Amino acid sequence: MNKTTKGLFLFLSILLFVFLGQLGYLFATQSVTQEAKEKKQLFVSLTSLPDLAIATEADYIRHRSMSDYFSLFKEGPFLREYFVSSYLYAPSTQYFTARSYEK
Amino acid sequence: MLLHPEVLAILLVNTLFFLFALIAFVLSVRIVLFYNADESTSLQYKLQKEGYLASTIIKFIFILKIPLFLFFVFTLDSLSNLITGAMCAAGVVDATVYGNYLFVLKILNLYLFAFWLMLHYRESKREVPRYTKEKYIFFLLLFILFMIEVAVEFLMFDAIELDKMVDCCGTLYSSTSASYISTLFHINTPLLLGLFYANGVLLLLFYRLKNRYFFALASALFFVSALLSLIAFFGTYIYELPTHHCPFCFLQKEYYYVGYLLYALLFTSTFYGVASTFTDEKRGMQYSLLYALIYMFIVSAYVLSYYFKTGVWL
Amino acid sequence: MRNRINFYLLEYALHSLWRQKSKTLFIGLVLTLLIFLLSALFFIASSIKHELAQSVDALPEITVQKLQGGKHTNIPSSAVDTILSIHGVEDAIARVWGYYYFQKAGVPFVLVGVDPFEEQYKKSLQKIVDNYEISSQEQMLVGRGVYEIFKEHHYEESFNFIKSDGSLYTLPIAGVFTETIELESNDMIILSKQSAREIFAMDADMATDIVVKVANPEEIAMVASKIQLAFPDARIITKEALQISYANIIDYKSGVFLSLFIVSLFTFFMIIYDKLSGLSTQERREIGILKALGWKVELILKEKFYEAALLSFVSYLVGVSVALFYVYILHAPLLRNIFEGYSVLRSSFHLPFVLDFQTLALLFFLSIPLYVAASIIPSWRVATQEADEVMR
Repeated sequence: MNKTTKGLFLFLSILLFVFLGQLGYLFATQSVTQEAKEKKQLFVSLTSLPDLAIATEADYIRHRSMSDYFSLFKEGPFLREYFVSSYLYAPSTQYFTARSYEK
Repeated sequence: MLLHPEVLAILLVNTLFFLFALIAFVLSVRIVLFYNADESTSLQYKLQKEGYLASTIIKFIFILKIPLFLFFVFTLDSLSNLITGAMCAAGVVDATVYGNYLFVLKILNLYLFAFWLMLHYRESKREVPRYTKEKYIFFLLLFILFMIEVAVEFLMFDAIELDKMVDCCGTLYSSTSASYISTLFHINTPLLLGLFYANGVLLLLFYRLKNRYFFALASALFFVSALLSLIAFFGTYIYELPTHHCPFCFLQKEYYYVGYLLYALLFTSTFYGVASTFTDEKRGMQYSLLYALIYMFIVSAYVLSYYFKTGVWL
Repeated sequence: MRNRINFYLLEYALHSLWRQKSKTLFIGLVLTLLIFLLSALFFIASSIKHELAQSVDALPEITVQKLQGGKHTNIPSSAVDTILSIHGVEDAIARVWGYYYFQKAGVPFVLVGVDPFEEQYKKSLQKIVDNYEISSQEQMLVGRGVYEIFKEHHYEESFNFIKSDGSLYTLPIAGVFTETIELESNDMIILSKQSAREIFAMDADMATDIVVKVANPEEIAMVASKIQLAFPDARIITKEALQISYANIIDYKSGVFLSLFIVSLFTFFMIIYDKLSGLSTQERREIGILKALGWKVELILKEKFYEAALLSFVSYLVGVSVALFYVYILHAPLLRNIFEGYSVLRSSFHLPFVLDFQTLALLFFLSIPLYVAASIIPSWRVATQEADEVMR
């Protein structure tokens, strides 16, 4: 093993260390604790409303999983989906078909 | 279902495999048609070079196929959360007509690819290659099977519908249902267990006798009896539920992913066992026996530990 | 079959990469960038999915909404009694909630009416509200984002809602929800049902929708179909449908993203193929010398494979590491705009970290096979060159 090899192997192991270290650090500090989970559940059971407050520009996006593809027609019959986030948040295709609760 | 990211990734890798396998296929056809070890023309020289490319491609596909198979099972498991009624991969496999065939085909292809590489490895060790043509004829068959697998996989993912009810493993593998699997539960358990352990003893015996043909046969039988006894008997001890006979649920987190370990042991053991017909090395049989014994030890440990914990048999 | 890693060959591959610094750097950078972009998106998606999954147990089993001409309208509270008479229903609650558009800031808030704050209620509320001041008069609890907007417009203590008749309705701010539940509560205002009805100008015998609790999960489907029979004009949302919608929310659209992204993956494939095919005279000579020294074709192929594996492994590590840093420590600047859209009210995007091996495996299969495949044919070309031809 000469100098370059040692350097390159060192570089590789540093990379691996950074990767694993970051995974470990994030896992230890940023994952959801039991306490936080309880708080979240407490809040959700208080409001009993689904969805996260990430995209908040219109009601059919704010509670996307409770709206359907036709909700946006409330805004006007010719309106297409023009919000960036409505591209990302799909509504469920489930409940305006009655199939989901027919066994 | 095609637009699910995991499914897309699998399809993307499959497309890649398809393109490269096609190259290997064309090269193999040329080799099969024109290869002649006795001539020394520039064509023969070229063919020899192309042989390297074909075998590299096959190696590439096989090396990625193993982790991709695990990822496939994992994806099926995670899809089960999305599909109404499915609780584990069994429901997703059963959701379409293709599921069961695809699974069998995938496992078969994995074995065949591994055997091909084994053959190739032994050939390249030889001073003068003897079975070059045969090797590539074998690959042509393998290619057809592989193409069927790729096509069926696409069809299966295309056919899965999210809002259709499917059966969960509880009904698929119950002894009351009329499926062909349920006939399995009519074989009585002591017989099945007897077969399983007797097979283990046979493996040991043929290993001592150093008879590799009988060993390979016993190894193949061991695979079958192990799978059957796993579904009918050992599975219930892993789940600690007398009625649950699912061969997929123990791949899940609740059972510490033990299924991956069990299946990996079983597959490698059978592979080495069957592959020992090709070689006269003792190593293959040793590995096969070792993995089989570890497998037997683990499944038996589940039963015994249950008995020690609760004092009753299921 | 026993392919052991040959460390001398590995060392050789490392040096070979090192000798062609600019080429290695170029390919490595492109691959790293590709992996970074993909992993950042998938990390955000898997975190949002995880966050949603955390709270799904706390949701009611069935939500009943009245539709009129395809639009959601208020439902009479008397429907609760009809629903309660169905067997299997544990509880049915008429909800009052809706959106309030704060014109000055251009922000819609979500107003949720709850039953009058009772003693035991307040105890549990204290866990999720910072500096909660208990008082007997009408008051509201607000999310952090709402509070920021209020402060910007100098409503530090209370806020004046404009009712439908133009008069003002003032509510004091009793507390702000803690940071932990920011993703859920950022744009929420919780107030009493009475206040909510006042602001929305809703009759006392009407409700926005009805939530139904069913104790036995096996009975949910049956109860849902019975409710549908009783109210043919209702939209009935079961918890299972919500769960599937949650999973769909991100999966479906990141699938669309990915299918568009495949174009760039193939472009990448072409670039790599092209780049690896162009051999310098230096490289040609190197291979020639190796072959003259007696290296077999397989060995050279193996060495080239080591090079590809090393390079893609390093790119994977760097790409994923940078993406982790970008998403969870920098909170995904720029990329979060895709998720937040035109929202005026922005959360701080503190996503919870999930150690999700499936995402890591997904990234692996989307990047590494592609690169290794692109390098197969160029490597083979190199390896099968004739020693005398090259060195001549």
